[in-house]
Amino acid sequence: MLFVLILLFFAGFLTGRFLRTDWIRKYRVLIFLTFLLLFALGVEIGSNNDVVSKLESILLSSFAVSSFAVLGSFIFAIIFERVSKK
Amino acid sequence: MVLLLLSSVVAGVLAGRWTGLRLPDWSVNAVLYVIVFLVGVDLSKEKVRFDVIKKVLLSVVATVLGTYAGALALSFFSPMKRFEVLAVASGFGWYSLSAIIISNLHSAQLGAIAFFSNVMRELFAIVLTPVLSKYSRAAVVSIAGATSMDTLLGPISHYTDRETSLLAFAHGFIVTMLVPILVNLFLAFR
Repeated sequence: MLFVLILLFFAGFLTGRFLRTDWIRKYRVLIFLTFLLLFALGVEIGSNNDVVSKLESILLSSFAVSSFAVLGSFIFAIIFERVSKK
Repeated sequence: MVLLLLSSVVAGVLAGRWTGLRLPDWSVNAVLYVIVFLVGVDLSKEKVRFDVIKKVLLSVVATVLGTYAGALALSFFSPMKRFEVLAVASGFGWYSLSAIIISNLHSAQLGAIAFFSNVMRELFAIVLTPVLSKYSRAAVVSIAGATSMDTLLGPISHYTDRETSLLAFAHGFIVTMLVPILVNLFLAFR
């Protein structure tokens, strides 16, 4: 799957040079596709009884991971900024 | 925008829960492949200046190390397994991709955690960018993670300067490329 994604990305990157690409932004194609993607992902989550029954603990774990990741990035970015300025 | 995106997930969850709607297994992947291809097409027209490369690499290292330092600290008192916390944190805010890879390769439950935690990272970034931009521009970019090249690029360029916007874009680009690699790496550790 990873291989397919990287391949597709570079295929797009290379072919895009020879195409008109302004329609992607003009018609907000990526946002529309993201809605579709998230809806499909939601259907997958909602139809999985195991996930629905544990939703509370899932949200709690999610909050824990995201807040620690954000805090860590914040601290390291500040340290790197201070060190590189010296 | 984040609210709209969230509500499409909620709509999907409700539809899957109450209407018995079932989509074919390939549908999520098919949409994701189209998105990744089109992001590539879209980016082919961007020009990244290379004189900021040292700053960019430094900020990428800060983002990655900082995220893992936070995730590692959490893993000592979380009921989740260490590799699970690290794999979820490896989404760096790119919720759609990390959630799909993790639910494919691990479980729907960890995929759901990856989804929500990375959505929350994006929400944190949206809320914190106006507050922190005066204090540290590097911190604003690192907190945004992979989203510094798309969703957060607008807010970052609004609250900082052009140089930081360029940094944000290149940083997000590299972190985005790292997401599938690092998520796969940590899932291989189970």
